[in-house]
Amino acid sequence: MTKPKSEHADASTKLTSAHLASRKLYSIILMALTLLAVVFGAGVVSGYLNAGGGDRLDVLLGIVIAWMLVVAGLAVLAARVWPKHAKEPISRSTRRSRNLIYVLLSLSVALGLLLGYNETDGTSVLSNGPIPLFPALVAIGLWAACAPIVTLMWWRSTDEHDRASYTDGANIAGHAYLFIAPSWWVATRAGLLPEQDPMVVLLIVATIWSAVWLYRRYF
Amino acid sequence: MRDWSQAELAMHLDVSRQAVNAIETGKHDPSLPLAFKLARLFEMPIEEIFDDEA
Repeated sequence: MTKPKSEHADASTKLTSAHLASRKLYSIILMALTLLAVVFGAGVVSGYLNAGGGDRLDVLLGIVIAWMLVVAGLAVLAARVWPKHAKEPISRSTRRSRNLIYVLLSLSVALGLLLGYNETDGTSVLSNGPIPLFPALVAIGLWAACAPIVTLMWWRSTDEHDRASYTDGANIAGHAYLFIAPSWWVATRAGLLPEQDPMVVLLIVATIWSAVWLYRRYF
Repeated sequence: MRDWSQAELAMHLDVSRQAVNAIETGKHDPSLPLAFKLARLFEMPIEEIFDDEA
């Protein structure tokens, strides 16, 4: 690794190692809380759906309210633990790439709600049950046309460190897929695991990709 | 020498604060264009800013 000579680089910044360490701690706490919120929220929603409670409008409303609460809670937490961070100036490319990430997240949430709401016999967003044609085409359009365009825009707007972190994530996630998919296939044939579900594999790979990307970017 | 925070330096380079931090801590090697941008910003040769640790 090429390291900046300390007398130049350190003099040009005000951040101390203690400051950086505290930020790292806050980042870990925030990520852990986010993970807990997501897991807890997923458990509550799937439990509710599996129990067959409520009609579809109730479910949709519940999911929207739960997500709004999670997002609002994290926003309040971020504003409390990162007051200096929140006031930092942000470069134009960073602001643009951040906004595009928000667009992608909104697309993903819309997609999840669309599929969840239009389940006909399944009860989970990840079920393999049939769904009506129109919402299916909308979902495919969102994921196969809109998401790649926004992703490309994000890739072109973000900085080289973020691109390198993302590429590292892709590399490790690709290898994970290479190891997970055949192992599961063999395990199924040996009667150790149920039939391979491509969406579950996709979720595992996407989680690994995101975790490596965020780790390399923020730690 | 400039008395900039990481965020201010990031603004001048049009990168994120995390990118500046990663370069400072040696976790990310900047590309040549970014290294030249840094050199121009500090009005110093690249080899005076970076050490190849050879």
